[in-house]
Amino acid sequence: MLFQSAASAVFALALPAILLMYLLRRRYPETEIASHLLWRRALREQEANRPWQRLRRTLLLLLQLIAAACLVFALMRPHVMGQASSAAPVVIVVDRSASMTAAASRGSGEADALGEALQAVAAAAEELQSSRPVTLIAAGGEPELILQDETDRRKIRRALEAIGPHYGRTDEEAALTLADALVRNKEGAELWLATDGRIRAGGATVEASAIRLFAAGRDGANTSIAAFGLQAGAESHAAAVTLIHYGARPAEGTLALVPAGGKAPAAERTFRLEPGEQRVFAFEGLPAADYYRAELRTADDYTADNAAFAFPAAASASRVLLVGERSLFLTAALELAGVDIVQADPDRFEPDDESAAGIDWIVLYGADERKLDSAAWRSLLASRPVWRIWTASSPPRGGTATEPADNRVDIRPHPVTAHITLADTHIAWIVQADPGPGMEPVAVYGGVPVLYAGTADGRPQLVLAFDPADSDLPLRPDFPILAAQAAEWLGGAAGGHLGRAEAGSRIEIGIRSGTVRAVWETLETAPVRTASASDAVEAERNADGAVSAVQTVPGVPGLYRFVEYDADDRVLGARLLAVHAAEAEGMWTDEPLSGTGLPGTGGETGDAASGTPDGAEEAASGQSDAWIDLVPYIAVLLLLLLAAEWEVYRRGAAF
Amino acid sequence: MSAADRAGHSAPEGNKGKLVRPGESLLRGVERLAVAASGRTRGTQQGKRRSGALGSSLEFADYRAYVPGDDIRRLDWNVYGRTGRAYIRQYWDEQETDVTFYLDVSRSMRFEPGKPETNPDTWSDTNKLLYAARIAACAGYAALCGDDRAAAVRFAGSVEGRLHPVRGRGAAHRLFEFLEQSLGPAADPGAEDLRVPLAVPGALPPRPGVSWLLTDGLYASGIEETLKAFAAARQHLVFVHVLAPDEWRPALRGELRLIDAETEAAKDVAVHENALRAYDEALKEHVRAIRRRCMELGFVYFAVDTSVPLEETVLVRMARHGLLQRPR
Repeated sequence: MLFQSAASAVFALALPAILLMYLLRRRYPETEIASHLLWRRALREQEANRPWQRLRRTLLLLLQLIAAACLVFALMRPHVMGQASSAAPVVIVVDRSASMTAAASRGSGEADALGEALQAVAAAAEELQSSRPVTLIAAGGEPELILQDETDRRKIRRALEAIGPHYGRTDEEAALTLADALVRNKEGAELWLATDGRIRAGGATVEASAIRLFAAGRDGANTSIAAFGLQAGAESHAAAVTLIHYGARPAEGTLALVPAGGKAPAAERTFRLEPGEQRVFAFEGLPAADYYRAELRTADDYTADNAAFAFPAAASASRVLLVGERSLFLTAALELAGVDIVQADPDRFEPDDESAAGIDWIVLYGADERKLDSAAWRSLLASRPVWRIWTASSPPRGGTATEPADNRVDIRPHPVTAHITLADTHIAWIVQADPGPGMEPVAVYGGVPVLYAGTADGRPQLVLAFDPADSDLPLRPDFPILAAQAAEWLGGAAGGHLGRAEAGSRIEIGIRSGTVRAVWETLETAPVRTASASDAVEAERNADGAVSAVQTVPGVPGLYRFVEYDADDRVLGARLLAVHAAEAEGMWTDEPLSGTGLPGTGGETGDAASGTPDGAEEAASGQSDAWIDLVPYIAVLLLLLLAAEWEVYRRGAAF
Repeated sequence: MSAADRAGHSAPEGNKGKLVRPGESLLRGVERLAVAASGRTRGTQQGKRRSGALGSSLEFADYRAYVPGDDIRRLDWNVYGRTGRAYIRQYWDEQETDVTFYLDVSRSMRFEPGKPETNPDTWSDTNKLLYAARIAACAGYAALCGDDRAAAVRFAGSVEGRLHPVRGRGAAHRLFEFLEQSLGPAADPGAEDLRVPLAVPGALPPRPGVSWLLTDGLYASGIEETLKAFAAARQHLVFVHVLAPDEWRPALRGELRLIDAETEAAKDVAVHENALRAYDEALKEHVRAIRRRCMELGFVYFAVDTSVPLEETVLVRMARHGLLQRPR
């Protein structure tokens, strides 16, 4: 036997209720009289005189007929279409990519498309049945679950208002996939997507019937600074700016280059770009400045890419103290990496403050550290990044040279091992020893670690566990790459600027030795709506409390300075980072909602400019309707009928 | 104080008839009355009733021509002297009549709220059976004093007991005794149909006479048929309808479960104005039906409220109704 609606067993409560009715029914005081005869006649007379009383039996019959009809009706499993008071979840996905900062559709009154979309979503959420839980997902680099199964409408509204744009790479597909997983196989569940349509969701397989689109933004134009390079010359700078125009009509405007700290542009150029045109503007003879800002003065909808920053590549190279025997290959490789080498013989060289001042990092090539036992050496080694190269001829304490079993290579991801494979490399002897605390093997050869990397007191440390002379590595292309990457990583603190990065992304930064504290300083931002523009943000730290070598790029496009301080709060160095919005966001498409892979949105681009498309509204209202099972209502009606029958019967008996 | 004392009854002969025997003053009053009988009566013995037949009383009836063999003592010599024709004077015959009292002793009659029906001593004066028995005692005494024969029958679901006709004032105590016994427990609670006890062979008197039916009339059916049966038995019936004040004017209020004293059936009744009005209507209709039937048959209907003092009922109301009248 199968109960389609086991929950209806709750109506079995009617049985004890009926029993209760009998148990608790009114008890009359008993009064003895001589005979009923006259009372019987009186009652009969009443019944005969009153139409109501005459109808009594008919009424009971009528009630029973209705009850029977209800039963039959219930057995027919009736349903009506109506607003189901369901607990079907609503999952809201808000596309907060950089393109959402573009102008809102005309007449919406909102500053940008994001505000417009959020306004529409908030209005729709207000009209939701209060029983329906709302899940709010903000699309970002990774989908962010802001609210889950929240029914408090005020919280939802506050959460919606708190959503700001995300200028980095936005993975709408992941957000949609997550949302789809939340609504899948849930009856009546809805997926709301607030977007301008400039999303990549081709891979997300969203059920077509369950999506409600809140389209925002307009079909405008965008002129984008695709690239901005600055070449430092002896006297002046040269610059090249690449512009791309996306839009249906030609764009006109001015391209201005503003030097650091200046208000007036150093150079200015008017332009006229045809739709889809890409053009490079070259500038010569710019006055020397720390950096330049390229600025677009034109009427376009998307402003996050209307400014770009560039600074001349730093020319200064790091200086390394090479301790140990002279190695031609190593010296050549390091020189190739642009490193100044200071050769030191540990037997004869004793470092002092003067000689140590110019040293950025140290290479210990086979040098027996037991000989470097003096306080000066220890102080120097403890205050600089060190690259130790163990050799079989003079292994470190407790070290033994082993022959690798095979030539299988396992390379772990690390800045030093980025482009290294060690393929076809033969290593004769590998020294096995304790690399010290905080050191992790990043390359394993034949089951034996050959390269350790880590930090000691916040300074990068590198150990090469074999003598390059014991291998054919110096003959391989890997060797200069390894040397260059090691030099960049170990001496990174001494390097130039940080270059360009996408907002919100993670970058590796070689932290200067002695850095105790680091700060992101905001120099300038692109003309965008900034959620929270604070001048200085403390840099991230790793688990040990030291400034992390992997930092999150500030979230708002602009120019930032990464400033490092030592224990005495002295500035060790300041490096510039130009942050730009995700490039895909500025690639303006004519029909934003088409080609997104979203089902049923291809034909609605015309409506996209007018906010919420009517079609989507209709589809959504159809979604919120559901078949309502009438059986429970009928059961309630039946119980009422039973009560009415009882009352009629009772009244009839007593009059 | 016992019911007998309260009613002014005395018990000169010990406990016999102490409850029903009328008091001395009432007896004196009743003595002078006679039970009314309609039409000519026919008895077997000399009595005070004018018989339908001509006889030897002093009451002149008619003349008729002398035929040989007539008692010449009745020849009217004055007429013979004036006319020369012999005429016989005729007189009405005077005979006694039988008065039979049918006493309803069913449970509804002996119903006394809150008191055991088996102990008549505890009954109040408004008890229907006690009141009916006292009426029967008074009327029976009047009949015995009027040289009529008095008989009594008590019935509930069937005839429970019978006092064969007695005659003469001296037999009054037998009547009282029988009535007193009738107050005792009945074997049968009573019937819904009056025909059950009375419309059976032998229940009604074999000879014409006067019958008093003392009952509360609370029978669902059979009253009309029983009245017809009395008419068929050539009885002049007096229907004494005895009802307690609670039955004439119920003092009930509220939602009650009414228990029938006879059937012990329960009935839930919401007693309110409409219900009381309906009861009053039902009672009136019931009384009207019995009264109409009695009128059709030439019977007498007499309604009694037991709250009225017995003296008033017997000496005033019954006399006014002509049930008990002074003899000519």
